[in-house]
Amino acid sequence: MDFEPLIELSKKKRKMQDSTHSFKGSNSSCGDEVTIFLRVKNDRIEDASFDGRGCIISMASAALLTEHIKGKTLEEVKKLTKEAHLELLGFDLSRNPSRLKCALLSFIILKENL
Amino acid sequence: MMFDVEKIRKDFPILDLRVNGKPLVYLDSAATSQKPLQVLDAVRNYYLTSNSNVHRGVHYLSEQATIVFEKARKTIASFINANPEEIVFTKNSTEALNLLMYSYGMSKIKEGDRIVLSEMEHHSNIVPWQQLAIRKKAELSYIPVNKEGILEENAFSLMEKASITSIMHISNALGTINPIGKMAPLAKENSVFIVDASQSVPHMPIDVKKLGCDFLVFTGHKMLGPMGIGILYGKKELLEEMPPFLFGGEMITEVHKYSSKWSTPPQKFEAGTPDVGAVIGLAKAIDYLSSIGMENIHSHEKELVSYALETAPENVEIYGPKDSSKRAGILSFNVKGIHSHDLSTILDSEGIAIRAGNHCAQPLHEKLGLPGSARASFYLYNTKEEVDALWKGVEKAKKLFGV
Repeated sequence: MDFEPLIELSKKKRKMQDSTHSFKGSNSSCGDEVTIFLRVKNDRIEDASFDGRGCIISMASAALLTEHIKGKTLEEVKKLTKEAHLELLGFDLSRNPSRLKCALLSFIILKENL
Repeated sequence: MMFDVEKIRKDFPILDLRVNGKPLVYLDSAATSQKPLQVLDAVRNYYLTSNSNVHRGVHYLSEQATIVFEKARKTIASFINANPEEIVFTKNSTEALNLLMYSYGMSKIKEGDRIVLSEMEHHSNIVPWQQLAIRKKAELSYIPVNKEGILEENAFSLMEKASITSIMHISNALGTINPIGKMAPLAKENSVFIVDASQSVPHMPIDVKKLGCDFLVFTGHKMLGPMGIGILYGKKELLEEMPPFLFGGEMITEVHKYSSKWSTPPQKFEAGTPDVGAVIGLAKAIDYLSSIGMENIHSHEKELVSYALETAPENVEIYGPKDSSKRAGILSFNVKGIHSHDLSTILDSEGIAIRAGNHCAQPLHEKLGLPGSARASFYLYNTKEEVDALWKGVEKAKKLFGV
């Protein structure tokens, strides 16, 4: 697994002051925690960001996901599939199935709350 | 006998594997140990020459299987200074603890009785007792663990009012060796003291009489044996009073349409066809460990852990007792600024196998305020060179993360 690009992504944590929604979730088995912030206007996500603590994969995937949904409508985001989310990340977890739950944490938080 | 680690390693061909192009450095024996050729051959040989169902047929093979099966029970019993009828075969330590919870716990515990555990227990020694407490409205109390990963001795008095106390001998997460010998006499009369010895029986000499416990559980796969075989040791008079756990064949002497009679222990607790091959394998593993000597194995691991403590790089925070006489061959740590799962993945790319996360001890990690930790655990086949490789891998991770 190539860690370097992930390390940069994982540093993009940002708490949003004027968010309209914030969703928090965690993986109890490893203690990773992610909060996703959204600013939604007329059903469109104007801004999205994340904060939290955890491994590089959970943080980097939250960074990629929040970047991806910026500008999209809530309806579009609801249609996002697990596979599409994983593809977004572009790193291969097929040899590390135990890390799948890290990659899916932010996706699950978003899906469960929308 | 000289302790020759290079000679020992030749018995474990898996240690010659290359992982991600690097020689495998296996530092996860606290999760499961590797198995020597002698054990694999013993299991294979059993299936080649003796396989049959035990305690049933009267033909040659069935008698043969029963003979080797019961001989294995004797080997296992004498390894911990118990009698063969005090050795019950289970699937693993978890099942042994569940047996105690369902059989002893459900028949003896009443509303308001106290069950005492420690904050460092493995989930397998928490969840069954939690269930018992819920079902019987019993009180569950925990002996606290201090910042150094040592049990608070002034809380041992909790045991004085306990009906059941169940404590791990060696912490799988911290390597702490708990003062079992000091605790056992505190158990009041008509209460039981249970020891989870999953991390001690594989690594040091254990004598159940010296420990003074009523029950002791351990598992074969952490001590060079196959998976699927666990051991419950219980004092004979306790096993005799206890009701069966699982019902069916083997555990009965008579079955009628509306009633049955139970066998005596240990058969009373061994319903159904056992994993005979695994039992044979475990007995062989014990022969192997005994031929090297448990004292020698314990010293070798202590030496490795002391060396690891001395050579640990900067920014590595190590948990558990600082005094190496209070710890076994388990080293848990975090590298500042790197999540333990990430560290494990980076070490894996260097061929190094460690454990990361909460090591099935979530209450302990919550107490210590840690989301998780990395754990290197040593066994008789590990070397100082492997400790060097571990710390070199950690240095590489630090560089990558810029910490």
